[in-house]
Amino acid sequence: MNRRQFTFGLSAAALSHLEAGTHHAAKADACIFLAMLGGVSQIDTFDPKPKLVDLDGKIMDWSKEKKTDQPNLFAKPRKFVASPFKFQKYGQSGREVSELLPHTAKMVDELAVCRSVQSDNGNHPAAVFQMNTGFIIPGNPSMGAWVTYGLGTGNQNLPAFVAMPDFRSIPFSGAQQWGSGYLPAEFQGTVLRATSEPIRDLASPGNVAPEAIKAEREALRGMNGSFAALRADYPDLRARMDSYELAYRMQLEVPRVLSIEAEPEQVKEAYGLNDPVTASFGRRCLMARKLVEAGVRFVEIFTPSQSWDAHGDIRKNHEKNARETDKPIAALLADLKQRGMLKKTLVVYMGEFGRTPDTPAEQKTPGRDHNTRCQSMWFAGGGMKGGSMIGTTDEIGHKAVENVYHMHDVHATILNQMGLNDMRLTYYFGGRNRRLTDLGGRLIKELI
Amino acid sequence: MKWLCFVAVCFSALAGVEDDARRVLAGRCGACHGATAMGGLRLDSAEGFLKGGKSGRPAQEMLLSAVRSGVMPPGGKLKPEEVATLEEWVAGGAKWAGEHWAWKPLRTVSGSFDFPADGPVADRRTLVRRLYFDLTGLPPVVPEKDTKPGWQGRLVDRLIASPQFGEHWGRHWLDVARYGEDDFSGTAVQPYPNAWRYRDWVIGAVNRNLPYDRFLMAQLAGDSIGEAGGLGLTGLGPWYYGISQPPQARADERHDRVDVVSRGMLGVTVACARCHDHKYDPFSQKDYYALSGVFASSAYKEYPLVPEAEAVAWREQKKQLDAAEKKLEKFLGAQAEVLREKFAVGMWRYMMGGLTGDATGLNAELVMRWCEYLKKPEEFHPYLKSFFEGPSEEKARAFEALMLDIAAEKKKVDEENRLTVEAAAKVAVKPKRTIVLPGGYRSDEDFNPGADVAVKSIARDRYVAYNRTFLEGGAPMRFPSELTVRLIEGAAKAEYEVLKADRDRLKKSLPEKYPYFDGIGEFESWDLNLDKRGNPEDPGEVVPRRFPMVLSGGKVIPLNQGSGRLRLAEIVAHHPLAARVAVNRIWMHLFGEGIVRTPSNFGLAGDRPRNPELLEYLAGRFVGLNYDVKAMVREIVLSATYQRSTARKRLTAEQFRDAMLAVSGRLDLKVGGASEELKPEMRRRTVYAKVGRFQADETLSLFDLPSAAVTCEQRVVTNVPLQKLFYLNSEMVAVEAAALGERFRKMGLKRGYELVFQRAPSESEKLAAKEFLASGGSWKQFAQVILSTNEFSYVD
Repeated sequence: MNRRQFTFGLSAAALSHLEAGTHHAAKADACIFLAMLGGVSQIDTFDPKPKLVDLDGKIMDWSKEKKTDQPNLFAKPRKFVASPFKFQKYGQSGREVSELLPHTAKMVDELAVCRSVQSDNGNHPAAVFQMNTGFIIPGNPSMGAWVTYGLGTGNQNLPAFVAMPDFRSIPFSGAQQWGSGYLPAEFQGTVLRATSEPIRDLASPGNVAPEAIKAEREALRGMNGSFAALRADYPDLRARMDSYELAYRMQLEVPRVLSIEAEPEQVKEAYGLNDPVTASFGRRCLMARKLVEAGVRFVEIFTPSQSWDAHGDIRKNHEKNARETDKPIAALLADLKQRGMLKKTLVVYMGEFGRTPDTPAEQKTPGRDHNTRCQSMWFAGGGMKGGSMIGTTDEIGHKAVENVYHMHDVHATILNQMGLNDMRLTYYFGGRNRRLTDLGGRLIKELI
Repeated sequence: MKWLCFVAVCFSALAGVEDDARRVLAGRCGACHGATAMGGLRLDSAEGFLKGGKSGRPAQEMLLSAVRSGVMPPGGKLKPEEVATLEEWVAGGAKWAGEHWAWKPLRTVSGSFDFPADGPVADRRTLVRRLYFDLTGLPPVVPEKDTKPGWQGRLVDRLIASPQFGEHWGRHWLDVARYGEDDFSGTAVQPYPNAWRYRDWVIGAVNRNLPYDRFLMAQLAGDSIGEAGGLGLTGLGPWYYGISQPPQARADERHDRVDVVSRGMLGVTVACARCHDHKYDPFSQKDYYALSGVFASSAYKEYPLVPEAEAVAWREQKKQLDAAEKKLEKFLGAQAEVLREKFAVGMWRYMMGGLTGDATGLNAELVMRWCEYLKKPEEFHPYLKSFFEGPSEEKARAFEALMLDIAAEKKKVDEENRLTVEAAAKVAVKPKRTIVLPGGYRSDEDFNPGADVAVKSIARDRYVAYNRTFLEGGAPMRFPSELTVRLIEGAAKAEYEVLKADRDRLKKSLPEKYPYFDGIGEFESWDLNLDKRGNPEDPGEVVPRRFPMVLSGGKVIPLNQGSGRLRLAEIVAHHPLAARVAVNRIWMHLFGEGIVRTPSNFGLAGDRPRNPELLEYLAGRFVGLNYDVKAMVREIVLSATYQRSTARKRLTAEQFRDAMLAVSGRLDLKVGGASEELKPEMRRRTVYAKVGRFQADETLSLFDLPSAAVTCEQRVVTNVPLQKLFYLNSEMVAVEAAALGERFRKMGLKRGYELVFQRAPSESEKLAAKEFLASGGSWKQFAQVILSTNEFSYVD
């Protein structure tokens, strides 16, 4: 069903704003969003700050700074913390990446890094909401839902939008992070579970024989057929019958797409499936590739809730999280590239915010706190300019000062690469046309 | 009847071009040619349009040439159909018939009235099924025997009088009321354990046929009219707690209240005017803040369902318990300090003991802790480096002396800081506006400037050494409560026993908290500042509380008696729009679609009434019936229109589950009470399942249960394969199928069909069933097929 069909009858005013399919030629057919929950430190990944080496341990008096510039959540006084990680230039582009991400670093020529993305709220829940829905409060559709609403699915036998949380700790508010908000429920993300039944109610109960399922299917088809025959004026009934056929096909298709056991050993090795540290994220990265290959529009993979939240110890925390994700992510990029899929697949790496250059003075092991004034995030593939890096933060990495972008701009850019104009991708609700980007985002043109 | 239809069609066709043109003007030209009046031209009123711009050219001419050539609007040409609309409108004389229909008072549409209808009269079976589902949300599992003339009226009366009517129609309202039983506090879920009492109040209000005006009033100002149960509309949130900074979170909450009142009750979108004047409708930003101020002047309040004295006594007891807890905690803290001081002198023995493991004459527990501490790598105690290089009594004594010195300094600095903070608190100028949200969550809406004080601290390395030795987790000389209790003796021990006994006694005697309604109550009256561009950190002028002007015929109706809620409630409840919105929603629930198909938006950007005469008639009738919902529903379902309706409705999430339970014979019709988890063992109607705002139930969401975060205009019906997987494979359906299969087995195919579909199976259905069973299919599987059919999920 396209958007026009669906919305008809809801609101006359809404209609004039809607068109089916893309608004312009799409660079990407699919998006894989890697949600680094907790917030990755820009200073320890893509935004080296040599100045902090001089300042390391020095106390900063923030009280003289503008109130909105102060790290306001945490204890004062605060001291600066130099990155414990060394930076080095990589690839033909010669972009600097820290030793924290050795595998991603090797793929730097594929990355389009923006080091100056800001957001509105420094609390995890609100910030995670904004990363996923554009707004800091609950109730709004997730970006995957918007994309699905805009583009529909690429494979009728699979859900169009798949969410893969880490079941050690799912994001705040769970399903709302991939929910459809005020959009119809059909656009919500389908969760892949970490069980033998990846999609809810996918498998027929074990004790039912295949012949019985076949018989049920035929009986149902017969009954629905005669019911619909008497109500030929009502197309919904046919649509529902088709939907049953889809469900049956999905039962076959999903396990086929998701079975990674049959993948070649070197692929499994590359994604880190043989190492318990990388296996969970790696498995999901590999599934993401297979889903996208099969026509899924939007896949979002989450690290555990607040996993990157390195208040207590930046080194320990970030090393742990990087170990879990770095290798699988690099493998995903390499795999997509090798299969020629990276051109049409947009990969996005982002957290809900960046981190501060300093830590409370009393802290024994230096950490970093929340920072909405800048974060480093990257795109890869999907028409983005590989090997590019934009955005400048001040000399301590506290605030973006050049090429400053907002989370809305990241969303606008994602939509744009997928052939959607964020201003035109609207849904009439509550008296006005709603958008993922609220009043509209700016494209991160330098990276396109 | 025909004549009336004809008039209605003409009316809407005329209004159509004008509305469309005005929509284009407002939407595409309004930003510059609204209040801003660029070039002197306003295109948002008849006067402005007639007057034209500074150039003096007639507006009609200017308008068409500007939009045809693409000179205007500057942001991008109008679409051809938009230009065509303006051309048609100008060609028709550019009529500006004055006010939008919805702002006008109710027109009297007189005479007896039957509603236009075109389908054939439904047969008895269809009608019975339709009435059951529409009025109670349940299928007719017991055959209707009464076939004497007038059976319809009697059936309708019976169904409307049944408690199931309130459950079904109450749930319709709960969609509008974005009913939820919890919120997200910012870090965790905040449950509202008494939320179901509001749900029960709604169901009860429908069942006792509380007039609709009273129903609305109760939900805004129930505290003034003896219906506090209705206040759950806002008492149950959404509250945004610490999701964002307090001014933002509180402003977002007020936004929700404005939205639920304006869209939910009046079908207007005032909430759109939070950041700027409304783009389509005549609501100014001031209107928004004038209304919002009513909710700023109200605050969360519990309404105990026990005598006030009992609630006061409970709260007093709780306060005492809290105080006793605190006292005990404080006492142990002080004792820990005494112990720290005591053991600090001679601490060197413990250090040595920790090295050798010899605890002779020492407290063994502390020695053991020193053992563990000294085993840790150097980074945990860099200040002991020289001690480790060559441990000696002398070095241990030196470390002890250092600790005693730091302890003395810390004590002095702590005391100085305490005095500084106390002094600063006295000079703080701006009073705090503290609001308490459910669960005792305190929110300071503004901060105390001047309370930012510089406190002293001790040198970091000294502090760290002391902290790690005495205070933090793992510190060898730390005295947590359990240890403190074991070490204190004499008078201190006796005092501890008294304090603990006191605390334990209070804890034991505190009963479970009394039941209460969540609501809102009067708070300090407060006219809000207008937030520039909707930003609460950027306040503009103060806007006195009043009702939106366009809805009060341009008059100022102040809302300044107390919070203004009672006055607001009176006006809203008796506003023509409230009646129109109510009858339109009733129509929608019965016919699948409203007369206005945007039931929460009767503004310019909303749908036009497809039959304005009918809407006015029904609204007028509703007022004439003194807002009697049951009577209104009765009149409509007994009309020929309803009997000839060709609407076909899919069961809602709740209806579907309830219908499964009803036909499987497992439905428990107990009315009211606490909510339950929606599990297969839960056999009550779905309206009694927990409704999470934090996390919605997966199954109900799959079948289009709206989000409880925001008022729901109308449910959408989606059709996705995951729903079908639910029919085929879910435990919930399997459980009901097993029970229904058993019934089929016992009663046979024919009576089974009667039970589920109120009809006999056809010959081919009999044959199909026979074949299905003969080929090894079980009755349970057969029942599963029955429950999965479209016939089961649709009502003709």
